Amino acid sequence: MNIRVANLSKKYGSVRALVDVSLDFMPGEIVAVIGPNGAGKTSLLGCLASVLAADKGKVLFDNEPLRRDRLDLRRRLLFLPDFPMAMPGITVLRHIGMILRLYNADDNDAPERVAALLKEFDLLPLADAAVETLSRGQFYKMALVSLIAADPELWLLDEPFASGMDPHGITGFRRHAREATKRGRTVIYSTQLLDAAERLADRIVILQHGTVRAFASVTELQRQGGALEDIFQQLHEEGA
Amino acid sequence: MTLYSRAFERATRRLVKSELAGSKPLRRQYRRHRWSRWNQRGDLVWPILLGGCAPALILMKLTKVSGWELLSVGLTGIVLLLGASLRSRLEDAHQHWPVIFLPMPVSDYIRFLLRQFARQMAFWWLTLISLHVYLGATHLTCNEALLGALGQGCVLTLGSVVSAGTLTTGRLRLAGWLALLAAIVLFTYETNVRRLSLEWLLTVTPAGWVILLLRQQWLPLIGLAALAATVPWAVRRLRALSETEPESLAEWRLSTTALEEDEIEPSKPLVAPSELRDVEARMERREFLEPSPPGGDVLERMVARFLNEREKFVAEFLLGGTTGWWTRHWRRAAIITLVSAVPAVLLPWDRAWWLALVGAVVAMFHAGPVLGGYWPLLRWHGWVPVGYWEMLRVLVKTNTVRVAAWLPLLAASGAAISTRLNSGPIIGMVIGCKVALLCWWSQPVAFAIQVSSETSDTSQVRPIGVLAGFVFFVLLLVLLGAAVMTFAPGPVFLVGAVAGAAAAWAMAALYGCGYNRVAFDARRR
Repeated sequence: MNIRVANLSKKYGSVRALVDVSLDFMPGEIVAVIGPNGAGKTSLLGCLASVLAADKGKVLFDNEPLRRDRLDLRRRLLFLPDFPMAMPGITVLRHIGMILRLYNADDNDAPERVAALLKEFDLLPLADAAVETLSRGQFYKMALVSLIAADPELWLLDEPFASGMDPHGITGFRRHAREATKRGRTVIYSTQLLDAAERLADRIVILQHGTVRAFASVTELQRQGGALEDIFQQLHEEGA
Repeated sequence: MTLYSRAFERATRRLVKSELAGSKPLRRQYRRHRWSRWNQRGDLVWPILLGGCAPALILMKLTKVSGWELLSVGLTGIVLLLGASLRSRLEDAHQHWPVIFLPMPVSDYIRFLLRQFARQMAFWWLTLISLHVYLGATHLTCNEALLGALGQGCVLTLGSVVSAGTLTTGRLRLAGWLALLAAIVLFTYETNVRRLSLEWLLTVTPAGWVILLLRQQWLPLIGLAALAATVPWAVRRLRALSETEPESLAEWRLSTTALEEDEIEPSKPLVAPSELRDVEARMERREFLEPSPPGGDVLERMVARFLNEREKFVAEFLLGGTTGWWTRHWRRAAIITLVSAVPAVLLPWDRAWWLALVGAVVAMFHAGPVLGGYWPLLRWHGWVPVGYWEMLRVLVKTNTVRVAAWLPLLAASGAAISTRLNSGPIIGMVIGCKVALLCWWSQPVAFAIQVSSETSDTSQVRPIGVLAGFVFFVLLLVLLGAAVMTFAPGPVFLVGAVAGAAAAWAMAALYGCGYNRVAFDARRR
């Protein structure tokens, strides 16, 4: 799926979260969105998922504008916020089942796929546990299993590396993200960890004060300005 | 204990500004962020519109009462709605951080909430008074009545705060509601501002209780006792919260460094392999992918008959993977109606009709789909591929069945009240049926309000939004007028019902257009 963000602007009252952001995402790539706190990372992901409303500009999926009544388009993406949703009182399995049915991903292979994922993310013993009894990391893993099992064309994740997942879970996420891109999926995630961005992403968007300061591959960025850490430091000094 | 220090803030702000003085962009940012605080004010529009103005206007049309009575009703409505919002904030775990993460005594926390709440209430109360003054509906020359209204507000504030701590306590929920409603109803009745004197303010103090006792004024005493009874539950609830073991934030951060695949040791299973095999076997049987068992009880099965497969799934999602609790709640409402309506008719007490009224109100919270009913996952509407119109269809169809089931209970309560007031049972039954009709035709707008509560619609102001807001307001006036007409005698009520239904659908449609066009955020900022 080709995703185009065209001249996107978003304000919260007098605070400008995104200013005329234009980006093109290609199928089969992993994109990390980085930037200082309040740079507009979550706002960008929210607009891509139609959870947030842009004041100006458009989000186009295969040249079709994203609206909330376009369920066919919305089924092609899944947004995992930093605190994913779940209904207290239902079990992990019931939650995953609901997400799969929402995304029409409850095919014949679904049980096998989910069982393997639960096993991989150490959630098998918790399959029948109530979601409110899970720790934050386990909760995020459950949401991640739903995402991987539903396998939409666009994966949107807000701060997956600060989600409370253990190293095993984080490694699992990385592996699945890489595999997903081989199937043509696009993975866009925000992070504050430069190391995590460098190691996983094909391209990196650097946001500052809502504007795109750079959008290029890791090697290209390094060629232009050195290590990501140096670029960040430079941005910080410019901002101050 | 004060939670903040203005002196500290002033001193620090001076330093911050001197630091910012050298950089124009940073100064600009600071100003923007400072002004953005005012966006929060939009969240309080509904309490004044729904809680304050709407009941007051309806009452004005119905009974031609004086401005002070309108003020009283408006104040009551605002406080109740703010109380409800306070309660929902308390239910949200993130709001308890002062008690959980800081070394703060629970009593200070309660005091803090009380002050915050009183401040909010005072703000909207003054706004309401200003509105009445502007409309010429009242005169602010009567100090006694003003103070009386303030006293009434104090009691209602206290009641709402106490309820905030009480109503979330499992089995005590119903008792909490009953006690609170009794307190509010009795106080609202007894402290009708027209009859107030300054000494009424004493009734919230122990000295006032003695006076009430000596004068044998039992109603306010019962109200006070009911209110006092809820205090220990509220304190217990908040104390339990303070003893909750917090999850360490540091723990969350520790796990953010990833390792390579070969560095990871396989994790040890937490349960016996046989249990794991059982889970796997059940998964293979696709149990978790099947819809919730169609069982449920009578009402749930009736609702299921009205919904198609997709709508059933949407309903299941909105209910959070469970079937409804409607039959169980209806049964409870039926019992409440029975135990309140029968004594209301039989007791040799002039004001016994209040019992049936209180019973009807409590039953309404169980059997009646108040403001669309309870759909726990509706707040996630913007995050998953579920459409506005299909959610609306599900809610309206479901609530049609629920209102139909609620109708006999309302008619019974109405009959009991009107019999007791020597008007014959028919009038009460008719009014009961009209209340049900009003509830039914207002469902689309109730749905829009539920969706709206989880959006940023009131805080994002754009020209098109202002225009839509204006149309929305006009439709709201039509809706209120229609609500009044619904209670008019003769066939006029049908005109009101039709106009109200049309306005309600138009409002839901207008809101749906904005929602689908992504005109506002599908989450609160």
